[in-house]
Amino acid sequence: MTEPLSIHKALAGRHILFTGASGFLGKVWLTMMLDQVPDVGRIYVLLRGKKNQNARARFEQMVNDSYAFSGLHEKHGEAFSRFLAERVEVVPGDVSQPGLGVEPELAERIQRQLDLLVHCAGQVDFNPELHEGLETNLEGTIHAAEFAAKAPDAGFVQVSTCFVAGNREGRIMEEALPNYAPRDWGAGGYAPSGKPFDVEAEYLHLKQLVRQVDEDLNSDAAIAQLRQEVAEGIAAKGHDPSNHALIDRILKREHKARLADRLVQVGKDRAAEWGWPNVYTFTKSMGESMLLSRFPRLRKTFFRPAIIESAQSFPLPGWNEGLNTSGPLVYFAGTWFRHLPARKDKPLDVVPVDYCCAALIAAGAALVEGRARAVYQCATSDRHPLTVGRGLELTSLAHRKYYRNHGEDAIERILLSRWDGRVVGDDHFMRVDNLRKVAQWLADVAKDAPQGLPTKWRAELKKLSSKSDRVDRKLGLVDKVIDTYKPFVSSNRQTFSCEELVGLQTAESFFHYEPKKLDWRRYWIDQHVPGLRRWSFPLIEGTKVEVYSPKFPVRLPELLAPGFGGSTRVTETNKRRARTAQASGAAE
Amino acid sequence: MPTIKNTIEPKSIGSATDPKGNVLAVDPERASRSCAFFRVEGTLIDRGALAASAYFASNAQGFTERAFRIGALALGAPLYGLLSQSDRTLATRAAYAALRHMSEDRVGELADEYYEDVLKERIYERGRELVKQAKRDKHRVVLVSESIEQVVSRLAAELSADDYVCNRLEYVRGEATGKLLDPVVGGHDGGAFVKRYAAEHAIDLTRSVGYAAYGADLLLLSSVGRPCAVNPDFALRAAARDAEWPVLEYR
Repeated sequence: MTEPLSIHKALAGRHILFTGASGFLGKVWLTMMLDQVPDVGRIYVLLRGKKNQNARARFEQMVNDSYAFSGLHEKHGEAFSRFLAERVEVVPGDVSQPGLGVEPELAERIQRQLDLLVHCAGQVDFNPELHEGLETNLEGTIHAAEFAAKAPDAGFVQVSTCFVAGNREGRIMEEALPNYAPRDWGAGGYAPSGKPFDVEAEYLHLKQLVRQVDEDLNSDAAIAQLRQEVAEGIAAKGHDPSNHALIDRILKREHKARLADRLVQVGKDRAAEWGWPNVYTFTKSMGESMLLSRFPRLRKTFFRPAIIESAQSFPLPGWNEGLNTSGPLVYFAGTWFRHLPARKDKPLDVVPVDYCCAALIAAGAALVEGRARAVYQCATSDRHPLTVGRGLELTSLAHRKYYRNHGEDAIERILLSRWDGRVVGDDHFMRVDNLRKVAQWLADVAKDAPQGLPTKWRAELKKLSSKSDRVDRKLGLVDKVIDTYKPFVSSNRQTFSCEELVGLQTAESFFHYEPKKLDWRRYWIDQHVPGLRRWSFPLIEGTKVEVYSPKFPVRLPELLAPGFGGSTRVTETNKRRARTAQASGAAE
Repeated sequence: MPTIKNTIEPKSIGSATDPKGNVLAVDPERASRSCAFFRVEGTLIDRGALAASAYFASNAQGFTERAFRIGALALGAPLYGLLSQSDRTLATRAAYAALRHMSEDRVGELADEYYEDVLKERIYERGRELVKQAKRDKHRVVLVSESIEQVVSRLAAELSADDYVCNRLEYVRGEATGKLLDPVVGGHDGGAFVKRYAAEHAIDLTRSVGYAAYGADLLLLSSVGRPCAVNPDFALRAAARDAEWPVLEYR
């Protein structure tokens, strides 16, 4: 029997390059590494600078503002800056650039010492503009792999997603297939062009598509047509159609919006042709295929999480950031909206971010130790499933608990708290488009009130009309959310095997992945929904999200000394790395 | 083949838990050779299975479902009243049938609410005193209740009881079937339970105390050396008078 993997031993003194640290998953991974594996050699955090903020300043702001780091601030106090400086080096770079956009000398220094590259950066919008999805999820992956391949002996962890499986049903195994496309896999035939999926050819095709859209919308004819439409629109609104400054301003905005829409649409259409639900999963899957075809000798593992959601306990219970998959759905289930079109028995494959990060660290350690499997799926549907029906029931119960105790008025405390969400079929009469029809009809009727009505009544009807318009707009948003999240709650009844991850026995129980440890009821009601309420709902409501304010803000040294920023703690490891690098010469 | 959770053991004894579900450690000092058995309903609280079931039914998922369940309970209430006198086990079973198709999650949450909002403030002060007195007298405190485990565990924690026995709902795929798992607590089998419990824990029943309120608990009280009728119903009052058992009234 294989000895359990000791994460501490495997990663002690090891040097890791990490991309995507500013994301939800990335922050938790970094805090977990610093908290649970403090003996790690050096973590190189690749971060892109912003317009008025260099990468180091951005990192400092992230560490100081984000509650994810609050535990570390409290644990180390004034010494946290030093603690960080000894372990973390911020590397200015950009995954969309060749060589990750890292200065060549710095890149060379990192590569000499690198043991592991964890590539977590990604475009997580489900349907970004096609070129953005390609730049980050595909080209970014290639750049990261090229970077790792230049190191003498670095492993590469590609953070992907379970949903690269695409529109397939049934149990999805932990396997990586070259040139994979769901339609090829499922039907056994070839689509959409009659040829089998070839990732290199598809990549060229997508680049061509982007160029084509760009050329089409920037052609003289298209611009002239748009200018004409804008002028007519202005005239229809009673403005001067010869106001060129106004036309140019609107034209610029309209052109940008149309270009973006087209780039989103062509990506969505192409993804759908091959059998992926969105551009995100399409480009992520292409990234996997590219790694298999272009980097056969690179030591690598694909880490595929399912739907990453609030932390169960680390860095703090309920910690969340941004809008993750369940956020908008949970939010709407807490409003007067009740009927969610979905499949009640479909697994809602949620995994808490801390479970996911612990498993990601374990997968990285396994790779460093040469024990990693080709693919690790970090999901719950196979061993401890939560169905969409149960998820909605728990959501209702969580809202109930909140409104009963914190409802602003009697309506919230008594009525809204008992306004439970329900899973319904697509054909339910209370579906969103029917509700929208009612709202639109009401708005129209109120707008066209007969002139003979008393002034007071007309004023009331005007109010009703604008209220109905607002309701319609909100329902439109709900409709969009439901459509976006359809693959997760309605289509594709999938279960993702996580046998490899569960089978990865670790000496430290903290890092062992076992979804059965999760108590769904307690997690959903006590951690997840309150976490969303605190960290995500403000984003939907357009209010401010809480910002952490440490007693001792982190200040990193301006320039780190060549090597390891003067850290004596890792000097021996440094020397060993340097010797190995000299001996092994160039990388793959 | 449906999976049935919470398959009850022949001895349906649970350990007291705190609100988070952690099992409370039993103080070995207190685990003496005598017990104080409390039939919860009537001696410690004034709410029985029907009240609990009504609370759950009125908070089922969806308004139609609530109306239907409450209606069914209202229609069955007179029957429950009649059955309580003749066959309390059947009455308890009938009361919890209203929870059919309710999710285990909802039952758990509503149990917490029911305990916090309804039961907690209805625990008789004299009842609390009796429990404290039993502890001072070094009795092991055991609660016997017709209510469901999610509710009784909270009460046991509140009163620092050493053990409890109560009813458990049957769940299939996370939904209540509306059935109670055997043996159903609340009927005439209280005496059998007390004897079994005494045998398993080396309890001297002649030194043990019993508090109960209903005629159905006659055998429970008859099993202990020091029975006491508390707020007794008609049947128990008559029996207590005949047997010259002490009677406490504090309702």
